[in-house]
Amino acid sequence: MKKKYSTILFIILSGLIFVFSVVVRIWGLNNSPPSVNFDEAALGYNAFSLSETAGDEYGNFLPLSLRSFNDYKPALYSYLSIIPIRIMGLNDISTRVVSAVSGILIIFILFFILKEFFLDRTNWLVAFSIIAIQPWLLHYSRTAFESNLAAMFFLGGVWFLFRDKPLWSVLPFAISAYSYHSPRLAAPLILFLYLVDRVWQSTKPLDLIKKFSWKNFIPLIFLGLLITPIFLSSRNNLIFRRYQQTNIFKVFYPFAPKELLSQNNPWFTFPSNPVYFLGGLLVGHAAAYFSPINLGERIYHTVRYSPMYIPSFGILGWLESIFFMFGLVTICRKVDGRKYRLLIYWILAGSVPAIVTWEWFHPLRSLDLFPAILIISILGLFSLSESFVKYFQTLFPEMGKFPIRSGLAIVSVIIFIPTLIFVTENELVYAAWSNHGEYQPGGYKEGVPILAKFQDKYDKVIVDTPHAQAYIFFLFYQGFPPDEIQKYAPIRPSPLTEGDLSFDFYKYEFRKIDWPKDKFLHNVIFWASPNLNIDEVRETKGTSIIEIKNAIDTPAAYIIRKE
Amino acid sequence: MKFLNTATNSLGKIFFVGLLILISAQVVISALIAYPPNEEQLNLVFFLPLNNYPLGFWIIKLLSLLFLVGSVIIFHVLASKIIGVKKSAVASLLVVISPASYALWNLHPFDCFKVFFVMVGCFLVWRMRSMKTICLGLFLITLTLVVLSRNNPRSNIPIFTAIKPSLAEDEIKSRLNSEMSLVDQVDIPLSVKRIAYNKPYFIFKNVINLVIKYGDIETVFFQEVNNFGQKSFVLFFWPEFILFVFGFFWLARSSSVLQNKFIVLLITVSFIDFLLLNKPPYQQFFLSLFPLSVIISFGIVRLGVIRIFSVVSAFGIGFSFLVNYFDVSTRPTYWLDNRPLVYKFIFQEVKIYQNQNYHFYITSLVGKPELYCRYYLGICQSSSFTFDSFRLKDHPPKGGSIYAGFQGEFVGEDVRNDIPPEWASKFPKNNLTILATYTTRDTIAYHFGDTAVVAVAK
Repeated sequence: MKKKYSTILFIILSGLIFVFSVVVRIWGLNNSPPSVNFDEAALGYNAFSLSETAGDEYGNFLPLSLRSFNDYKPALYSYLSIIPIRIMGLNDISTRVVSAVSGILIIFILFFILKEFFLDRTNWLVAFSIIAIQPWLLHYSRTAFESNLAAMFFLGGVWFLFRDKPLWSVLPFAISAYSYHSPRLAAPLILFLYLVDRVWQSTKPLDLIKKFSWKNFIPLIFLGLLITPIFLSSRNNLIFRRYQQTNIFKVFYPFAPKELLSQNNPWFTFPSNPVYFLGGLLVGHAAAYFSPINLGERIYHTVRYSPMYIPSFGILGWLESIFFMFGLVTICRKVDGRKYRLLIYWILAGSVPAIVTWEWFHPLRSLDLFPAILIISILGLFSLSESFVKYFQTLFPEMGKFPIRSGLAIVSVIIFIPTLIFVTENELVYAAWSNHGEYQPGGYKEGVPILAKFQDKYDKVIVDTPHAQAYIFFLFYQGFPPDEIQKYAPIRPSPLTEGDLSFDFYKYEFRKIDWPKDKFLHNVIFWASPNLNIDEVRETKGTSIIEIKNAIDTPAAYIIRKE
Repeated sequence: MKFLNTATNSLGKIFFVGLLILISAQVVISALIAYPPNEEQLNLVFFLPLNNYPLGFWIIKLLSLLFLVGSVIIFHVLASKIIGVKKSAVASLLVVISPASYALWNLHPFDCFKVFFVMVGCFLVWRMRSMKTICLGLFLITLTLVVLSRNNPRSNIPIFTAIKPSLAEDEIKSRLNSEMSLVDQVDIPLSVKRIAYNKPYFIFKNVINLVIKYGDIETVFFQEVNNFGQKSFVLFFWPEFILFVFGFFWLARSSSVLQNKFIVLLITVSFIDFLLLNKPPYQQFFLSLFPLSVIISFGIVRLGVIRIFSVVSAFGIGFSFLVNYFDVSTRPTYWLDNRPLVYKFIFQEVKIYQNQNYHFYITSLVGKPELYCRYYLGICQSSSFTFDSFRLKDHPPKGGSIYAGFQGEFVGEDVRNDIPPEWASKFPKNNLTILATYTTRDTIAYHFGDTAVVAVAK
């Protein structure tokens, strides 16, 4: 009877945590974040284009990668977005739904992975509740991130490895590789490490080479076959474009401080040889994902001004970042256990894609590894709690374990509840204010639909915006016909171009407004940034101005109609 | 004492010889760089009953070195009984070769005294069994950390800042005001928000955020390859991180309670020091050199069972030592504080004109010029010297004066520190003639430019 009641209670509490996780991922998806960012708009618009024409914005038929901003985004996210876009139309919510659903499924899969480590239901539930309030899990579910979709499939693959079913893991791993760049390296690597471990454990070391057989690696071979089309689909190796843009070897060359290098050939410098500093950079990049300050507090410049930014947090919750080091101790002690070794392989595999790129710490590229880090943190928490209970018992031997554990539980609840509110509020409300700026420029969501109503009556729309690639918002927020845009593919900047990829299409002309000259134009709409001297415009006859405000009610743009 | 016995065996001899070589190398590098004294050192120099200030300066440096080496020896004596002589010797040498150690005895005498007394305190706590000496040890550690931390009076002690209710209140108000500016927001009732938006929770948040900063692996191990926008000496060379990982692994699997307790004691002391210090990272993390060196030594000694790994480890660390000390000697201004260099430049110029009836105006933007004046010139009479920042854009220069300061003090400051390239052309209009300039590597006088100028108004 007691067991029956505890099972019911467990189901109810798990269900509540799960429902909470679902609600916070979909509540207010339209206005938090307040508008789509560049990549979201690109994913959404390309999904729209695929649904209408079976081609991306450049007219490439059923591509495996979206050329987009010459960054060749993996296309699966857009393909999956076709369904919500068809149902709800092209808007912020329909673009983000796939990421939100991925985030929900991540929670679901993690619930079952946790069972591998926490056999006791109370511990299992505590671990699950900690996962439910993780800032990064929430944040990356509320913005359209291909990496979040990939992380979900990657996690599915890992779960099958925990269940010792490597062949079943192949399909989710393969799908994750079609979803984002990182799993193309991480998935084969974790599968390889897992299979080697399996062979190693089942064979005496001396017999290893004798008994080595390719049959042990069939799942890896299947995975390789499944993801080969990704690489074959690109002409001129453009699929590696993203890597070429971001790899550590290009960005940091010649690695050593220039003042210490030989004037002739840097590679012959002694003692400040570039190889030494390159080694340090690579090892440092790896170590960055184990550094508590990066996990819990430090915000790098490249993260701060990007959609990856989570205000008030690094990636994990604050206490989890501290417990992570204790969790590593637990892992070291239990490394003889297969599931603990799998956690280590998971971290190694998940960090490799990020290590070879130039940013010191890049959450999106390493998203696959953070569930492992989280699990380790939770293991650390439990290990620390047990040590604390034992220590208190040695100090107060007359006191049993129950009062000490109860005291710990009360303290935990006192910390947990406000943290739950803080994390939710921080993401749904504060982050919307904090992130409304450059990478999620304001004005387009509010102004483009207004512009779309007038533009047919005018000869030209001249757009002056400080944002590169602003054209994508004009396409996205008015659902511009994809077949029309595809016609401009030949005149668009070439695949190797970086920087501003704006191009003139339809009536749109992207250039700086020079009002003293432009005021003499007729039958034109101007989209101007707030930097324009609007008083000068007001003085010009035949103009009507609409002020477009952003999420915090400050001017973001002006729509000026010049008759 | 028992530690002297270690000198009689071969390992002990190797340890002391190694220590001697490393220290000698650092002394030679220090002599070659000939870096000028900072204010902390000058205060002590003037405390000595010596009129030869450069000699006094070197005495202070050597005294600092003595205290630092003393602390390492005490650490070695203590650690050798707990983790073994070999590991203890390796850990001690790792502390000594750290560029942060070099920086400490060259620049921060009080930190050296602090480290020494903390090690004495740890010795008392650990080695003596009676409660009395344990309490004495803890008291000594606490007193040392609090008193000898010597934070800049104008800066705040991090832990006390984190627990300030007013800071929490300001943060809550700022967040609520920001959120209210959103036009279209997810509506969470204020009563619900208040469960998290309260001072106790925000204080908890601020304290935890401070605690997390202690786990800064990059600053501790990778400062030489990425400076993270901060000015700090290298604590550990990056190859030592690999050895740290091995050491961490083996130590985690070790069942020795004593060793773990020892490391916990050292980490606790360094953590408390970290919470109390508002100084550059290498000073904040210096005490953590000891426990981390212990962990690294575990890695080195365990790996060293296989001779090739011994050789590789020794080569790796030796090469890193070479790279880093070559770096320090080649570009000292990158690693060292630029402010003493500015005053050295200023007073070397002023010295030329000292006896020519000029009145000298010396900037106080980046330090206490009166200390440097006394060091470089001896007596600096108030009738001839004014030690204060000046604004010649607002108050024209007085004839018969020499001004020594930053560009912005002559031609006007700029909020972005963007002094126009043609700044020197404005000098003749103000009857000023430039005598000498010195451009600092770092921006130390923000808003006032990066070039120190000595100019005469005739």
